[in-house]
Amino acid sequence: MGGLLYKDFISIRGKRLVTGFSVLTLLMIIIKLIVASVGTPIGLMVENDEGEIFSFLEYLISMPAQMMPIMFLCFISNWVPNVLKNDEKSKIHSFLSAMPVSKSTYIAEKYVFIGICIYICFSLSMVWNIISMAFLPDGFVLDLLMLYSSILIELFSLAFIGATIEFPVFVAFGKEKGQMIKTAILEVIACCVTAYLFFGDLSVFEKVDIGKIMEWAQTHSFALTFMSVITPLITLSIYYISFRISVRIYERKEREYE
Amino acid sequence: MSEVKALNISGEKAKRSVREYSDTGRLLIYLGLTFTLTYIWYFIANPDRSTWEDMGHMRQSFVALGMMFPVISNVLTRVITKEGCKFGGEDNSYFGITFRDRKWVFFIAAVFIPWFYTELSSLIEIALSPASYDPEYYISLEIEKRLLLLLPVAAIVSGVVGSFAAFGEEGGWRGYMMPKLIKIMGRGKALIVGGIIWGLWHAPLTCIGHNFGTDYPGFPYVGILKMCIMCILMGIILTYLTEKSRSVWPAAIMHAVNNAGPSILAGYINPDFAPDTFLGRNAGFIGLIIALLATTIIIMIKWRKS
Repeated sequence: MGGLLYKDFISIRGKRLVTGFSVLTLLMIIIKLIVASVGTPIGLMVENDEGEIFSFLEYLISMPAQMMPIMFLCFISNWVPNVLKNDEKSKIHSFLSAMPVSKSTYIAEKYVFIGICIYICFSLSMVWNIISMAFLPDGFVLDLLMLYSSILIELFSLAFIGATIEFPVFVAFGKEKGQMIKTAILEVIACCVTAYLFFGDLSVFEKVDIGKIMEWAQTHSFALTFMSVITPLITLSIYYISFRISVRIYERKEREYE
Repeated sequence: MSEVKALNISGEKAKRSVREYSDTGRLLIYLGLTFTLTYIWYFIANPDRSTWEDMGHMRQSFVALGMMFPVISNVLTRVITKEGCKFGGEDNSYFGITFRDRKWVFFIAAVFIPWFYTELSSLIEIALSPASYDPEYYISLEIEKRLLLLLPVAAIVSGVVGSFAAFGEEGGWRGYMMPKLIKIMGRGKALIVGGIIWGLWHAPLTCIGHNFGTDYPGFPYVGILKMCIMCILMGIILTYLTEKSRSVWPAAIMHAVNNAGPSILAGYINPDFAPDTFLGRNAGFIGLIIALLATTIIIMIKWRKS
């Protein structure tokens, strides 16, 4: 399985990504340490709607920590079809038939590979959050980042759920049909969101208060802890069920192929 | 014929250009890198020399990123000495995972061993210093009773999910230092020397009050000594898990769960109530050492049998 994992790592341009993310992490640390020792110039101190003054520079540095988890979800969603697509492209079937790799091992490797990717992306997001939150005084930016870090597990559970749905679809229908189904579903969701933005009640978003959400999180610590315990367990169980389904579909398809 | 000769000459040249490193040489490079990088990090990340308590939770996590340097040094040493990174066989990097031959048992054990010895250490602490027992202490920590009961499971899950930081340490200590030390001096000596090195690596953190605070007689030397003792005992359990599972991941998981503190009884021990005697001040440490010793003895017996 190690060889197959390495093949997929190369197919998603893993080396380039590792270098890029390492450089970005190093840059974040350097900038953070410089800002912490020099301080924010008065011109870069801004005031939010609630009259709270905070450092815009610190807010900027925390941007990768806020944006990247969402970006990672998109990356992962892209890697799922890619690892299967590359196999179709490189005619891996004939190669695998000559190798002592069972059908379930082949599918298991895909699930393990995406699992490892999600774990690494989650870990990187945690590290960036830690870097962003260091040296921050109490206030808006810290509240924002703390809220973000508290939902990271749930956010990356979404990545697992996405892969749970995508794998069987792509194994069953292949690259092109699978991509079409995925695009169709995403377009329906995008249409719903657009319709809501045009005709829905947007005043809901004006009422969103991070301070209140933080307060709610503090008073409901048991519910949140319970959620953070149960979410990974449920997600991994569903992921395993998805793997069994994909193996069945793949075996049936291969039987027809043979 | 001349072509073959030319090939032989170029092969020999290439061999000569690749410097051969002994295991001791490699280990010294690794230790030099780990200690230098980590100590520089602790110096940079804590510019105002705050104590661990004064830092606040956010900066504590930032300083604790120094945990990543052992695994970074492992990779750097392998690159410098051109050792390569094998995922199996002899000179295994232990980065891979396999569940074959019932190796999954060690992953389960890694999750539950810290729970066992932290609860046992809390029990011993209460027995040694009964005045510390406070049935309502968890309320002052702003923890609900039902949350307290959920704490071990939460620590286990968060430990497993967030095991990357512990992997940073274990990937270096168990993944590189221990196999080299065992090769050089045999398992018995290696476990003690490895524990002392690991304890000394923590010295900058111990000096700012991590683990034992700053308010104790003999600060910080006694703290460093205590850390070395703790690291020797924990190192034995972690090395056992690594050797048996042929992977550093059970050790990383155990380390992470241990750091998350999966103890229910800890919510009933109020350190402020401890009597100002030697036993009262050190009940927590003595309890932990006895619990770790008990676990280590069980593991050593199993190890010898196998």
